[in-house]
Parts: sequence; C-alpha cells; structure tokens
Amino acid sequence: MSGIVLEKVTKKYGDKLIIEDLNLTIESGSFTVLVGPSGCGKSTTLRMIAGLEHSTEGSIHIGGVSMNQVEPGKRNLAMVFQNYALYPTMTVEKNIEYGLKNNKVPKEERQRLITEIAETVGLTRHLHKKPEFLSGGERQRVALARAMVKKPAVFLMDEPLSNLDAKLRQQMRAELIELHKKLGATFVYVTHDQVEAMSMGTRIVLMDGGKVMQEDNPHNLYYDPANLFSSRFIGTPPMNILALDRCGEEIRKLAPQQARYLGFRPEKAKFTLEPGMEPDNTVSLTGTLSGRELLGSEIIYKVLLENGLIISVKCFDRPERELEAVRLYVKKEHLAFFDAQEQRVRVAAQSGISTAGSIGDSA
Amino acid sequence: MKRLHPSVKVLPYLLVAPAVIILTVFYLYPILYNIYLSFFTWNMRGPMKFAGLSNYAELFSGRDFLHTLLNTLLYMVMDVGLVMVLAMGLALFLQKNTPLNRFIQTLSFTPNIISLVSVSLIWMWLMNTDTGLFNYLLSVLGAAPVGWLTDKDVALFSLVLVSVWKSVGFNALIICSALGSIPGYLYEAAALDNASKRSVFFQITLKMISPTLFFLILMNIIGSFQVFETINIMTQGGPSNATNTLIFSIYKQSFEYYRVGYASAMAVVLMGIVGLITIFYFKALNKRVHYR
Amino acid sequence: MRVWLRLPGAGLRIIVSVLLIVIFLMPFYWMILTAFKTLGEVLRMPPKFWVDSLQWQNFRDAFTRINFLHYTRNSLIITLGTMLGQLVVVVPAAYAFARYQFKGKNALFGIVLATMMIPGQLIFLPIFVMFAKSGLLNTYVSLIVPFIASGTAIFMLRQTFMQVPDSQLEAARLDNASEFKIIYTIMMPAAVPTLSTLALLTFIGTWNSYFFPLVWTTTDAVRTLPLGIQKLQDVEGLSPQIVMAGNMMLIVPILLVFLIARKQIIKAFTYMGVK
Repeated sequence: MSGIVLEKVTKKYGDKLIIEDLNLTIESGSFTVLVGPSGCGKSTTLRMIAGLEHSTEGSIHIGGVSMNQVEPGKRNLAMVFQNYALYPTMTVEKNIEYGLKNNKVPKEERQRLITEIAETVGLTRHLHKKPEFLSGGERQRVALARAMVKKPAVFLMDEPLSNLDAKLRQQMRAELIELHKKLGATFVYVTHDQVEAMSMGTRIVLMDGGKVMQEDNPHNLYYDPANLFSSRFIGTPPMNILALDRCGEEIRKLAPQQARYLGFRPEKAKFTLEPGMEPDNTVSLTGTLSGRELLGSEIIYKVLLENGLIISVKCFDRPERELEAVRLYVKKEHLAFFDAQEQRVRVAAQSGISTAGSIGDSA
Repeated sequence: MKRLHPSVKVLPYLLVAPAVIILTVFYLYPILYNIYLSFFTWNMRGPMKFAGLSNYAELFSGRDFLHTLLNTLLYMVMDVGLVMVLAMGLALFLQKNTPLNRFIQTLSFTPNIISLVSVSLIWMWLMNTDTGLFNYLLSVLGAAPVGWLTDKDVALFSLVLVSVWKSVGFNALIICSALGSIPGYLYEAAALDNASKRSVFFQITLKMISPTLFFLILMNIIGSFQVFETINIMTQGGPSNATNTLIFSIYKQSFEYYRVGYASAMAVVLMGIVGLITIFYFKALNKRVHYR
Repeated sequence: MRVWLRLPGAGLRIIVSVLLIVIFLMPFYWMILTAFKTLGEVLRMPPKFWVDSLQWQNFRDAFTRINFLHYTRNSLIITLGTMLGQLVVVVPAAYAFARYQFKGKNALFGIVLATMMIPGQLIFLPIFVMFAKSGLLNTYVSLIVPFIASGTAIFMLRQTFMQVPDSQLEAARLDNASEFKIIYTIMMPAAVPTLSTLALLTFIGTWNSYFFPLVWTTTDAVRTLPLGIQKLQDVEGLSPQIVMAGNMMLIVPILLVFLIARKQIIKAFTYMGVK
C-alpha cells in the first residue's frame, strides 16, 4: 500500500539539470537503496519523495496518491538525516514526541509510545538528556526512534550511517535490516557506498548524472551489469574492462559485432583450469604479475597483460604467487561485452553471465 | 615554547604590561576610588570630609534620586522592549536575501554608526513643536501638535524613539545573522514532523536564537542605563525632570552642583544594578544549554 | 524560516519596505534639505520638501561660527592617536595572551575581560578627579590613553592570534627570529583583517565620541567636533539650517568610510554582537 512511483520527474536548480526525466517504481515493503557517486541526484530524489524539494516537472505518487500538493508532514513518511537533524534545544524525549504532538496524538498515548520506542532502541536511560550529551551512536538511535515512533509507511534514510565509525556502522547495518523485516514498511535508503547498498538493499537503484543507470536486485546488479558504469561502480576491485581492439583474435571472434569492450569480474579469472573449465569454454590471457595485495582471506593481484593493460585478479589460493609471468583463464560465460555507448551487448542465448558464486565473496 | 629564548620568562609580562597597567589605572582603580569618594563630602575644591553612609542615606530618603531611578527604569523598559520587538520583526522581514532587503538592512544600520550628537540634533529639529516636520505631518492628518520634547508626559518616550531608531538596525542585523545560522535541516525535520508554522517559530526558531536574544537584551539594558547624549542635547533632563536619568543626574551633580560624594554614591548604586543584571545574565546563561 | 514566513502577499511586503525606507532615510533627507534652505524656507509652514537654490553659505556660516578647524583637528589627533596607541598596546598584549603560558596569565586576562563588562560611563567622575589632580585635564593624553587598551580589541586580536598554526611559529623560531620579528612578520600579516576591523571600529567610536571629551575637559582646548557641533546648536539654535549644515560636516566623513567599507563594518559590528 505504500509503493512509491516517480513519473517523468525532472529537477532543475536554475539552469542546472539535477534529475532528468526519472521514472522509478519503488515497491511497497521493499528495502530500496539509491546508490551512486556524489552529485548523481540520489539525495535530491529522496528529498523530492519527502517533499523537501519540489520536482520541476513530473509527478510523485505514494500509495497511489499524488503527492505533488501534499506537505512533507502529511505524507505518512519519516526521514533519518545524515547528520540526524535532532532538535538541539529539546531533550531526547521531546525530540521523539515532537512529531506525535504535531499529529495531535493524545498525551497518554504519546507517553506509551515513547516508553516503548525508547525500550526498543535502548534509549531509556537517555530520555531526559539533550542531544549534545549523547555519543554519535546514541544520536543515531534518537533519529531512528523519532522516525519509528510515527509508524510511517515509508522510511527515508539519507546516508544515516556515514557519521558512525566502522564498527558501529557494521552493527547498525544489521539492525536496520532487522528493523525492515520487523516493520514491513517501505525503506528508501541513500548511500554512496556500494558495499552498504549491496549488503542492505533488496532492490538497488544505481544512479549517475541524474539518471538511473541500472535498477535491479543486488545479485543481478553484480553479475549482470547493464552498462560499463554499473560494472565499474559495483565490486571491489571493480570489473576488469578491456578495449576489444587490444585483445587477441581468440577473444575478438567471441564478441558480438557492435561490442567495443570486454569485461569480467576479478574473481572469475583463474590461474589454472579448474574443474568444469575446458579449453573450449574458456579464453586465456597472458601477462605478468606486477603487484599483490593481501586482504586476509583473499589476495588481489595486479596483472600486466601482454597488450599493456592492467587488470585485477582476486583469488583465495595459498600460498601467494611469485611476481612472474602467468596465464589466466576465464570462462566464456563470465565475459560481458559493451558497445561504444558503454551499454551491455548480450551474446545470443546469453541471458546473464553465469551466476555461480555468491555476492558475499565479492562485495 | 619553553626552551627557546632566555628572555621568554619576562617577555610575556612586558608584552601585557602596558595594557594591564592602563586597564588597572582607568578601570579597576577608578571603581575603588569611586566607592571611596562616595563616603565623603567634597566639592572638588575644599577639603574632603568623611561622611560615612550619609550620601547613601540622602539618596534613598530624598525623592529626587528615586524619581531619577524610576525614569531610568521606565526608559530602559520602553527602550529594550521596543528595540527587541521591532528588531525581531525587522530581522524576520529581511530574512530573504534580495537586493531590496540588503538595501534596507544597510539603510537601517546606518544610524548606528552616526554620532549620537548628530542623531540628537536631527531629531530635535524633527520634533520641534512649532516648525518641526513631525507636527506638520500630524497637522496634515488633522491631529493636534505634540510637545515631543516639551511635554513632560511625552519627552521620555521621544528619547526612546530616537534610541530605537538608532539601534534597531544593529539589533536586527545581529538577529538576522543568528537566524541565518540555524541549520536548514532543522526546518526540514520539523516539516517532516508536521509542525505548524507557529510551532516551528516558537519551538525551533525562537529557541535556537534565544542565546543571541538574551545577549542583545543584556547589551541593550546596560546601554539604556547609560543614556546621556540625547538627554544632554535634546532635553537637559527636562521638562520638570521628566527625562532626568541616572548618568545625566550624576553628571549634573558632579559638574553643576559639585557634589562629588553624592554623585559617586549614585554611580555606586548604578554599578551595583548593572553588576546584578550581568551576574543574573550569566547565571541564567549557565542554566541554559550550550547548543551544539 | 523560509518555511515559516511566507508573508501575506507581495503587496504588503512592498508597503512595509517603502515604509522602512522612509523611516530610515527621512531624517537624513530632512537634515540635508534643511542644510540647503534659507532661514525663511526653514521656518515656513507648510514646509517645502525641495529647495530651488542651494544655500551653500550655510556651510560657510557653520564653519565660521564655531572654530570648525580647531575641533576637526582635535578630532583627528585624538582619533589617530587612539588608533596608533591601540596598535602599540593591544597587539603585544593580545600576542602574549594568545601565545605564552605564564604565571598569572588567567588572572591578568580576567582583568581584561572584566573591563569589557564595566560601562566606562559609570566611572567618569573618579577619573576626572584623577586627571584634575595630576594636571592632565584638557590634554590630548587624557582623551587618548584611557582608550588604547581596549579589552574588546585585545579579546578579538587574541582569538585571531590563536588561530595562527603553531608550526609557523616554530619554523620562525628555528630560523632564530626574535619575538618581535615573529610578531611583525608572521602574526601581523595574519591579523590584518582583524586589525583593519578594529581600526574601523575605533575610528567610528572615537570620531563620534561625545561623552568623555565633554566630561573630561573644562575648556575648548582639546574638545572634539561633536562638541563643536553641539556648541553650534547652542549659539545658532534658532538657525536650524546652519546647525544642520554643521551636522552634515560631522557625518560626512563617517558616511564616506561606511560607503567604502560597508561590508567590513557590518561584519565587524556583527562580530561584536555575537562574540
């Protein structure tokens, strides 16, 4: 009941085009992550859904109702800001209570809800403190409590974890996923961090330059990028991209006619023919190992190919390899091709790159 | 810092010495000297005669001082009240950064950098009972002329008007800058919390700028206790002492009646009042939070 | 605020704007207008809101009725003297308070802060007595020295000095620069904006000063222009056109400075208001 539909939405600041003709459907109950580099329009999109910005053109519907004339406070949504935007002059309790009060919730009811939510997020001890006396994590919880207490159909979150330290961020990530499951509300979450997007979203909208580059679930986004931007933005290290005209005959003849680029994920390149890899379903590349980065369970090698390009190879083998000449094998089904416009070109009968392997390894 | 220079130990004292000496000689010592003088009877020429607390006794038994004190308080309440309310209104009106608003902002600030002598002379001329512009404009509206500076029920208020005209722009400027420093996201959060305009104004705007408002109120109170120029130029304390306030009275007692002890006692009382208000201000400030 | 104050329509806004402009401009306009009228025009009822011929001799009259040059010279001497004196006294003190640790520093700085709280007008009498006893009445010194150790100036400049990074000072010390050299080659350039702000505030304050030159003098010897203009009112009060002409000559230098350094002056006053 609380799906969000953006239709032909355009946003300009003066002459500057921020969002161009955006069409987006956010399903009710999904955990949708808007992700992209800074300036890609993700925050603006979120703020337009909240009603804090007005779209220059187009319409926004929430739960089937047009929101164009609806004030932010009447949209049945709550937002968690990057800097939390807590009211510094009010205690934690008053911060949480403010929205309820404005919505004319009776006093006893308010009291009950606040006690309940404080219990849930673990703020009971801090109810009578002002935000300045709380730690970053506690402030984060106040912001969440303030949003949750209104029981909105839609939660909007604008980089809510970016001000926390790494450990707390990890923990809050898990808690937010848990929260989403429990509440069943629609979550729209903005971040520039692809790891955060991949690990939290049930649905990811990848944006760049005010446009949606790809919209899919995390799995497909990783294994089936729609264009070069997606392939490079998602994954650490990103997908290896080679200009086709610098590749050998063996590879070129595999490529569809309009293809200009070839890509494959770093972990799909193997140093040996592993089980299931036959000479006729793989391609091979030769080069020299030029660098090595040890990341705990995995090792990332830099490989200088014969054609002068450098690619990354991720593997989990021990021991580390010496920096010497190597031959690399990649299954044909793991190759992705892109045309001159950087869009994906699919090989006939190839619906997606084979999706063996899990995201967890790669993200 | 420690090991570098042999003279470093004395140097800081040498550097601060001129300033500290001057401040001691011209601020701290005079305060004590003032208190000392208040216990004597002296006409600046003859010998000083110890008078104990008799100057203070005279202050509080006579009606002159109480009348003067009342005038000062009345002036303060009107002045501070009007300045704060009008400055707040002006600041809210000028919120939007348009060329017209910037122009009005600058214009309203200009009287603040002009000498009070000039301001007094201009307003004295405007408020002239017979040939002043104000009474002419009143007559155009069909109203009777007002004795702006000659009617004892109006004169004090007239002086308040001059003071308000001079300082409202400055106060508005400060409030404007405080308003501008309220982060926009607070208004966004409030909008999402479905807050009414009224609630936003009282719960967010006013609370956020309250430290600035308190500071301005303190400044204006202390300033209004010191009102002198307008009185000395425009009314000389009259008519019938209606505009005789503390500083002016101290001045008169010193240089017209040569009653140094009595004038000093008055200054001590005024200092006490200002001191109490300042202490009260800092106490109140400490109780309030320092927003971050 | 954008959310709160969408004022009821552009019409009302324009009316209020015009009203504000009239309120703040009219007194100045009336002064200028009067200064160029004849006495007959000045006293005429209803008054004229324009003049047909400019009466420049009002200015000449104002100039000669009082010893205008004498007062102007006094104002200039005292204003410049105060500015220079502040430079000499305030800069080293602010530097020491910002950059040294020494015994009694907090107490001494407390004195500075305390003086910012005490309105000087309250203690004019004991200082008058001090001047009278020491023979300093009617001297420039009495109108300059008490103001050159401004607590506000020390406070502002100290803040500026504290923001200069330590590494710059350490580098200079390693280059064997003397303390005074450090002040004048590293600290002063960093403090130029603050110093010019202080110079503007001091100029405006001293040029306009009326109370202290009045109460600490008994003759015209060192009295300043505001007192001169008040004297003009005393002797020519029945000729408002001459008083307003004199008044204009008192205001113009300040207005010129304001026109040139409007932004900086407004910023300086804003700083004073929010420090």
